[in-house]
Parts: sequence; C-alpha cells; structure tokens
Amino acid sequence: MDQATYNRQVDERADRVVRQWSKRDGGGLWDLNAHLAMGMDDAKVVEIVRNALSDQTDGWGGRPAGGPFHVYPCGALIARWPDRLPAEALEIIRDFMMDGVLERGNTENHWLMFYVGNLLAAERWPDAKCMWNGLSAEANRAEATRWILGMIERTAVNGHHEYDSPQYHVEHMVPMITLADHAADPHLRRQVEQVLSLYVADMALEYFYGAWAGGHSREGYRENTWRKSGAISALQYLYFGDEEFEPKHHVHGFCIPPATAAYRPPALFAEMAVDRSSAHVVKKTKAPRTIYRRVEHEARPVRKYTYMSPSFALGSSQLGLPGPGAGPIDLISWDLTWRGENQQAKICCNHPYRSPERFSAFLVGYPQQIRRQIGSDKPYLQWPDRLFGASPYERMMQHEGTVIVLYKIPPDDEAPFINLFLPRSIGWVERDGWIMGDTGAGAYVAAYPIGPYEWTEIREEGAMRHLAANPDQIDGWLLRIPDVHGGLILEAREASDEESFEAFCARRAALQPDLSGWPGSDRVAVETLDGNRLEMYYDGVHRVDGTAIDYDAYPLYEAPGVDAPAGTGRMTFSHGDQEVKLDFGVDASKPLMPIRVIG
Amino acid sequence: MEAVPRDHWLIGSKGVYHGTIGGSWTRIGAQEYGISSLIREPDRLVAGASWGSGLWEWPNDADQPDRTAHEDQSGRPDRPDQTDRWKQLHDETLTEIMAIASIGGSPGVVAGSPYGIATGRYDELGAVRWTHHSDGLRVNERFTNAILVHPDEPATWLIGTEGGVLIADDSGAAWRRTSISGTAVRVLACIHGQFWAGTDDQGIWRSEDGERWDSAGHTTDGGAVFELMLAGDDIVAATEHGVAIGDGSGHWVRNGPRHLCAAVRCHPGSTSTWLAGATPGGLWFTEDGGQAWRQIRGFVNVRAIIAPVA
Repeated sequence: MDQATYNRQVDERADRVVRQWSKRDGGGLWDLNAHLAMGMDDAKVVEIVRNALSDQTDGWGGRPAGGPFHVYPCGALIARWPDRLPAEALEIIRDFMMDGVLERGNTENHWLMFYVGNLLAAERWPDAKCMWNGLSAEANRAEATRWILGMIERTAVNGHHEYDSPQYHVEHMVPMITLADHAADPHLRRQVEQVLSLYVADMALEYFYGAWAGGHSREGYRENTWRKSGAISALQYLYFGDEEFEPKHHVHGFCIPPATAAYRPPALFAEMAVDRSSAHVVKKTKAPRTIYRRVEHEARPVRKYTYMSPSFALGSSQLGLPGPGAGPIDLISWDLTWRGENQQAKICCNHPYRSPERFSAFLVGYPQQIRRQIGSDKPYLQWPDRLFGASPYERMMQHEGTVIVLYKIPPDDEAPFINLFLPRSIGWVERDGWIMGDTGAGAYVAAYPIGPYEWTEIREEGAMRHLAANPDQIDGWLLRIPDVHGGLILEAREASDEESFEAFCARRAALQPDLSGWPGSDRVAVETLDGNRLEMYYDGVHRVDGTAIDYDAYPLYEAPGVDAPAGTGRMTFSHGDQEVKLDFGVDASKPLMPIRVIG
Repeated sequence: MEAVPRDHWLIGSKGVYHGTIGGSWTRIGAQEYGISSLIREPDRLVAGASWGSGLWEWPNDADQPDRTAHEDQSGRPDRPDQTDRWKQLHDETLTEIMAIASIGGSPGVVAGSPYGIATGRYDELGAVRWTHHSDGLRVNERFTNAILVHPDEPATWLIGTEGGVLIADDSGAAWRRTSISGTAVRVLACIHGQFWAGTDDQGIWRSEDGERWDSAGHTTDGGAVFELMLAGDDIVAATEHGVAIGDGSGHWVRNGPRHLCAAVRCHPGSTSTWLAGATPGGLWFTEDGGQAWRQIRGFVNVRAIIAPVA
C-alpha cells in the first residue's frame, strides 16, 4: 500500500472517530479537538475550556492549578486551533500558562506532556518575560526542548523507558504528534517524527488482533487479563485499521488530538502490524527500570522476546531488576494471548510481591509509611489475588511458543504463593500435571504448574476503565500455587500443526518436564513439541538445545525486516518494497541526558 | 504580599506557610506542592518539593515594595502581579528534592534528590542549570536525605543517604565514606560542636569529625530519626514514634503524641517552645518543653519547619 492510499484510510478512520466523539456533549480539553473540528459554537468552547481549567489552589492568592493532563492539551489546542479558538478561551489558557500553579508529575509520560505543553505555550507567547514558574518564555522553551530532545535520543539509544504500555503509550505518542505538526524548531520536528516512527514500530511489532502482546512496563489498573486494555486500542485502530469500527474500544478522549492531526505514520508499519503470514520472533531492548534505593546494584536493560504466531502471541521479559525491593507496580513481565473476548483470551501468572520496601524503591515518600500512602489510593496493589506488578523473585526464559517461569520466594515473604490466571471459556483437560485447552481460535495451550495448586475463581469489580463501574474487571479461574519454589511451564501451538486436540494432549502429556534439579540445583528443563530443549537455571544460564542465550546481544529491535542494533541511534524497517530509515544523529562521545523519571 | 515577618515560623507542608503559635497561618504564594525542605535567608526563602516538583525560590526582601502592587512582566495589560510567585530554580535534571542547604555563590544552594546532590549556575536566560555530583556512587549512596555544610569548611558537605553518611569534599568533587554505612540516614545536625546523625534502624550517632561515628543511643521505641535539634541543654529528636528528648548521654525519652514526627524546631527565644510536624499527624506545639502538646489545625503532613529569626 502506498503512503497516499494509507493516508486516505487513516483520514477516513480519523473522521469516523471525530464524528463519533463529537456526539458527546461537553467533555474536556482533549475532547475539545473533536468539537472544534466539527464546528462547536464559541460559547460552548469557552465553557469547556473554563470548566476544564477551573481548579484553583486554595485560599487567598489562589491560582489556576493543573498538571500534565491539563498542560499538554492546552498547548495542543493553541497550536492546533489558533484561528478557531475564541479569544476568551485563548485568554483562559493564557492565564493558566502564565499564572497557574502547574505540576510536572513524576513519570515519563507526565514529563513529556508537561514539557510539550510548556514548549507550545512558550512558542505561542514568545515575548512573555514571566510565565507560570517565574521564568521567561525563552527559558521555558529552552528547558522543554532540552528534555524532549534528550528523551528522544535516550529512547533511540537505550530503548523507550515507559515501554510498550497499553495505557501510557498514548500519552507518549499524542504529545509527540502535536509537536510533529506544530513545533517551530525544524530539528526538533525531525527528531519527533523519527521517534514517532519508533513508537509506531513498537505498536506494530507486537500487534495481535487488537491486543498488544508480550511484556509491558505498565499495564496496571487490573486490566492485564483483558485482551484489549488501556487506551491504545484507539491508536491501533487509527493507524492499523484491521478491525471493524467499535466505538467502545476505538474512540478514546486521549486519542482525539491525533484524530484531528495532520501527522500520519509511514504506511509500512500498518502492513507490518497486520502481516500474520508466518510465525516469527520479535526481540526488543528497553531502558533499565528506575530503581533509586533499597537495592545494591543498578537495574539492567530490559530484554523482551515475543513470539508472534498466526493464532497466538506469547511474550516474556528479562527485567534486569536489581533484587528485593525492586518491584515496579504496573509491570507485566509475560503473557499469552489469542483472539477472543476480554478475559477469555489471556493467560498470565505472577507473584503478588508485597513489601515495605517495594514502593520506596522508586517513590520518595518515607519508607515507614509509603505503603499505606500508596495503598490508600490504590488498595488493589496490596491484594493477595493481584495478577500484575513485578516480583524480584521471578525469572523466565522463552523459546518460540514455550516459556518457563520460575519463582524462588523467601519463605517469610508476605505472599508465599503464585497466582495463575486461566480463562473460564475453555474446557480444560488435566493429564499428568499438564492443564491443556483448545482456545477455539486456532491455538492449543498446555500449562504445567510447578508446585501444588488449587482451582479457585477470581471475580473483581473495578472503576478505572472509562471512569465507570465495571462489574467484570477480572473474571476467570485463579489457580493459587502455594509454593515458594513454584513456577509454570507453558507451551502454545498452532492447532494446524497438530492432528487434533486429543493428539496434542497426548503428545504433551507424554513429555514430562525435567524437575529433578528444582529447586535444589535451581534448574528446570523441558522439551517442546518441536523437539527443542529449554534448560533454565534460576539465576544462571538459559539454554536452548544446549546453546546459551546471550541477552546482552539483543539489538534495539529484531524482527523480520528490521535492522536496529542497540546503542547506535540508527535503524531500518522494511516491508515489501517499502523502507523506513531512521538516524537520530547520536554523538556517542556525549553522555545521554539522565533519566530522572519513573515509569 | 509583604515579606515574611522575622518572628514567624515557616512550615513546609502542602505549600509553605508562615505564622505564629496562637495566630493565623498563611500560605506563601499559591503553590501547593509537597514541601520536603526549606531554607530561610535574609532576602529569600528556598523550598524543595517532592513528587517531581523541584526547587523554588521566594524573594523575601523586607526592603521590597509591597508586591501586591501590579507590575506586569508578561506584556499583557491589567495582568495581576507576577512577582507574587515562587520562581523555579530547578531544571529538567533536578526532580524530587529531599534536602537542601545554603552554600556560597548563586543560586547558593546544594540540592539533594534520589539521584544525589547537585549544584547549579545561572544560564544566559536566567534559568538555573544543575550539575550532579553523585553519579559515581552506589545506588543507595546517591539517594540523599540530608545535607549538612561543615561549619568550618564550606566546601565540605556531610551527606545523609540511604546508604549511610558520606562526605563530599571540594563541593562534591571527591567523596569519602564514613563509619555509618548500610543504613538510611535521615538527618544530620551540628550541635555543641559535634556532628549528629539520625538513622532508620540504628538509632542516633555522633561524631567529632564526621567520619568516625559513635552510637548515641535511642529511645526504647526505636524507629527512624528524622530531625535532631538543640533545646536548652537537651537534644530533641523527631522520631518515627514522636518526639524524644535526650540529655546527650545516650538516654532518650519519648514524649507526647505518637506519630511519624518528621520535623521539630525550638523557638530561639524560648527553649521550652517547640513546634513539631508529623507526616501524617499535622502540626503540634509545646510551650513547656514537651510536657503538654496541642495540635494546630489545618495541617496534615508536615516535613519541614524553620524557626523564627532570633
């Protein structure tokens, strides 16, 4: 598909999204882009802007108050709609950016939104000698430009920090899209366009029928049993199409600015996303997690491995965490997904790590009380049935459709057990320790819990998605493995590679894992149905057919048609007769801007 | 707004407040950031904020005209006064401020964050650019909770970190480890010519030179120590379980309400009048050396207190 054809397709989907969203009455600053595109009258525009920026700091001398989720859309509105925004609305935004008390936040997406909004405001009012923070527009613009360029370069060299998040990838892409369209500095615009290609490549390489397969830096909010979680579905639809329009998933307020933007990604990525012609491996390197206390060593880079098969996707991660204390709360290390309804097409397991040190490893509150402080806002982070969040005691290895996940949990740990989620829609078969199922979507799956386990169920209500009550937040089987030396071996297969499900069960059950070295020698081995032998030492070497996996040799990206060595800032993506070459112009002799955010 | 009166306390809470015991408390400026640390100098206040909100300066020159007067600097007529605000001192590399201390020069602050200590300089645009000095240290040794400038050697700084006390010589160009290591140090103080340190799980320590430390005991309740100050002949500690009073011999007695007491300060004119801030637990005062305490309404989390100027 040529770029012009692709652009027209995106235009059509964008128009559909905007028209759908503009049917809503009111909304906020993000939504306003749809209303402005559809010709909302000025009085309503002013009302929306005024309401959205009505928060004030308390008491005498109160000023407009807001954070990254206000600052970015303000910048986006003044950049995208300079001739359409009524003067009164523009003045309210100006008051906010000149007189407000603005928060920068503490995550990477927060800072990006904050600095993009600040930059665009500084460019809109370049002569302001004193913006909200007492600095001139020129100083604000310089600071924002430094951070954004530094973040881009770091991403191009080390990999994205807040990587592959179904929730927060949107908050990275959308501000960058606004910059691509409107930043005044041509160098910044070029770097932004390039990093957007990386962001879209990240989406495309692990896109699986509307799901984002594999590991994620942040897929919290109890959505990781969902096949489509977070706001990313809206951007996937906009840029990849692939599915019939479904407003529930494909329209999201955070994705309205790109639907009204001029930016279009290279068409090649959409073709990569939907090309399921053959099974293939995707490898990625991502930046180390920010862990700034309670540990002895630095975190190492994250290495992702995702097997994209026509009927399923299995992804896992080498997290590089530096030990107890380090357990990023929203992190998803691995999962298996296939085509199906939410909660009926995912398998995952985890150790619901809890510790007084957990939050303070990357948050600044006093360790003596931060657990209560964070747990008050998000009590589910402390629940024993939790299915997401990193554990410092989890290790894993993967080869194609087979993964081994092992845990060595200290006996005195608060949660001396493992949670395994299985969908309820499958009629499971248990034989010789293997739990096997036919997904009904072209894939068979076999899971071997290491350790005793008990079938129970998990049903939780929620209120995060669309800010509305959701009685089906989590709904499925929960297998509790009450063993501090537990684990899981899982193999997924294309049904077309087997004679029948019964034959699959018989073959898989006949091949018992080698647990003779577990936990005494820290070793587990298993033979796959393709005859490959996986051998894993908990804190040691991982071998496939006797050859050690060299995780340090992972490139930035590896996939069919991708050449992206780590640390160079140069990468090439090709598909068919199309090619995208990126060169961020990295000067290896200069230090990268340090990462000072979490995520 | 007029300059903060010299006889007012300063409180770092959700914003910076000034006031007197029994009087009203007024927030300085509009900011509501969580304040972790404060500096009071004759012509300015400096506040460190957590959760990514950085470092801020409030011009506090009593000789300035009333700053409620309109003085438009934005180019827009009828804009409200724009000097009535905190000015940003941080840049894109300085994030969560845990501790600050006055040093010479401009901007005249050494700032401590989870990423270590940093010093700044003004650039041509009037913004401060920061240089970090802790990058070569271990992870826990970078995370800075307390900074104490050596009273006799201004370029020597004692740094309380998650990994113990370190000494930054030559304004952070060189580092020395001390005999306190492997425990979080949350406060450093210079009292009676000695250095004092409060730790998370090893009580209170003192040192003649900042390098070799000796245990100075702890209360029977134990817990982390967040502040140490002199009150008459006593040394008062803000601890995880409230205020504790010590006589310097290693004997400490916990006193008053039980809370995580993050800050305690003594009035310069009355050795028995103290203000204590809890996180959470609010703001408390005593006027009889800790026998009776009363809560001051309006505060929830208090992490920093500066006493009135003597």
